[in-house]
Amino acid sequence: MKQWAQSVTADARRTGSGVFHCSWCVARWFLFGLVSTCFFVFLTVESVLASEKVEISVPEEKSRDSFSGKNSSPRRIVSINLCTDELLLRLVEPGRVAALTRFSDNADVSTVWETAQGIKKTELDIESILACSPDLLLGGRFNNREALHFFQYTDIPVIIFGVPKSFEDIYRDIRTLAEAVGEPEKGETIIRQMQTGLAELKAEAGESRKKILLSGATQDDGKGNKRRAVFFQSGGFVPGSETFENAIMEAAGLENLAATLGIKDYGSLSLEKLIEMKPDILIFASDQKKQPTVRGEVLAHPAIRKSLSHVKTVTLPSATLSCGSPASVEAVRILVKETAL
Amino acid sequence: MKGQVKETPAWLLYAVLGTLLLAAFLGSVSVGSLKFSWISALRHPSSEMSFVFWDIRVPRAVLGLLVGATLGLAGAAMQGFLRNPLAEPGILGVTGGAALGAVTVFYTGLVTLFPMVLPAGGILGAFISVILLYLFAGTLASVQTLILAGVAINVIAFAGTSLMLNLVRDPYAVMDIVFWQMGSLADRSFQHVLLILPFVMAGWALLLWDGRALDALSLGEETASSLGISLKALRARIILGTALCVGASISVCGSIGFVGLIVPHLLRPYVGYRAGKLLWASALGGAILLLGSDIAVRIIPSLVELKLGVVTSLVGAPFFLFLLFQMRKKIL
Repeated sequence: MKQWAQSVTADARRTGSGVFHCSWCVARWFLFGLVSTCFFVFLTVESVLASEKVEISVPEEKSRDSFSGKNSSPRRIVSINLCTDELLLRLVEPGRVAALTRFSDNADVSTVWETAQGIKKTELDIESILACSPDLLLGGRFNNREALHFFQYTDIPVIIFGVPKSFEDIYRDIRTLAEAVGEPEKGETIIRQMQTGLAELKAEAGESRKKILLSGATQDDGKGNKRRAVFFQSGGFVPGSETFENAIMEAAGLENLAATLGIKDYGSLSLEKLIEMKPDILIFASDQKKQPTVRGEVLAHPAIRKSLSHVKTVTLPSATLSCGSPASVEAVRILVKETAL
Repeated sequence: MKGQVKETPAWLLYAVLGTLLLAAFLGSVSVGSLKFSWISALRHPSSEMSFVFWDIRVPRAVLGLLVGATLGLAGAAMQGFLRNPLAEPGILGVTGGAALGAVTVFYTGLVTLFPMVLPAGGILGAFISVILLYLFAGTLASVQTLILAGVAINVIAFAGTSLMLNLVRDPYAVMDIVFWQMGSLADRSFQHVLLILPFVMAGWALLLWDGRALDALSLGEETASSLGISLKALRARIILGTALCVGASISVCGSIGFVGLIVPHLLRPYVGYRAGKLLWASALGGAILLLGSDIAVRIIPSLVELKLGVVTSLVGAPFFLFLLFQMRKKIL
């Protein structure tokens, strides 16, 4: 017993004098040093060259000119992003769409799943896209960068859309796409519909806010009379200011507590902080409530149920949240309806 | 080593460990983004403070205690039984197997039918990996055989876990790999504590029972047999006990590594290098270490809360290297 314990901690005796105890060892270390130095020099040169290359080439501009210059109307449009799927199907007839993502006919996430039936679905790699022989490629900033990068060097026009942070961004995206596919009037119609819808909802939200103030259901703390909401997502993530969810909450006449806390983009809100903030409304996304994930377990934490039992909870269907599109107005409508007294 | 082994008196050892554990527990229930003392939370029932205290902090601390003690105890038991100083549930792939089992039942939706399935899945996964380990390496394997077997099991388990999460329909489920690989006690509730409590208790009982047998075994198998120790029964108890408590713990808080490695090593000198006494001390020490790490996780400022396993690995992996370095003569 004692012996075993000693063998565990006893110092092993050293032989030789470290790594340089023979001439071959010295040579080996020298070679190793040489090779690694060469490697780092190579790496530095390479990265300098790469950064220069990026500055020279502006393929994005090139492709942008090629579609807006000649007022063409592409007939084989390929979309490799769920959000561009949605906008595209609202703007052009299905016959002009060559391929969509495989999420586009999934009713859980897509709002145009009925129209998307029967249209070819493509995988998102370069070869599959090429097989569709597109004459216009639509993609999002945050998926399949490699594929989009590749097509920027081809003759096929590419439009890349960012993630909208406000309804203005959505209108801009719709205009860009409508122009590219040669349907600007249709685009304006959709934007007008969204604007009138939002204006009605704003009025409605104002009405119900007055009612709530009169009934005294919420404490008037002098900080304005907006009701305070938190969009609580899996893993304690919350959208702060400059996010699309923030735009939806503001359009529904709610104050986004996370933005008030100074969270920009997305941040995390601990359960304790959430309880301390005492929001009036808690918003969840439907898929995060439905699918069991470890990150999603926090949404059903008993502490929320007990200490925020009086708080109104609204579960928004995920399909209305996955993209900035006319369906976003639907999300605002549900919020206004559910939070009305 | 050079002189004779000094053994700290038992009462002193347990008094020190007990005090540290109490301090760690009280520290754990006092740290969080909401500032209040636990005394005021007890004084004002049904205030928001008491909700936070009873539904967030206390289950977290209790779970830390259970899991930490489990890992420390399992580490000490495996080191004693395999007579191998590098044996530890994390390194030998037992926690990885448990995570794979838990992931399998969690994401196939079985868990929504019947919550007890979750710890059961973890236990089954841990059980399979202990059996595999035993088949690969046997009881008296050399250090490198054991470690290699552990590496192989870990890789298989990690691949399986990733595969399961990739197959889930939810595209963001892959993010949960972080939880299952790194472990976390954040936002757990009493449901989780109650879910694993019976299994953990049963596992502890099986392992703590083996103190005298492990003491005898450290004199060699023949001696132990001649002292009336049934090696078969001992083996069964160790395998079953480890699978029960480690599997259940991992199924609710993800893989947390190295606790079972560090704690027995640090405490071994103070129990006079006795494998049996080490079991109790390691259980206490493991709980202290995990609760301490969990406090560190909450104190260290970062955008998203650090994962518990990150902290234990940051402490444990250099320690592992240090042990390897000390043993390199024996291994190479």
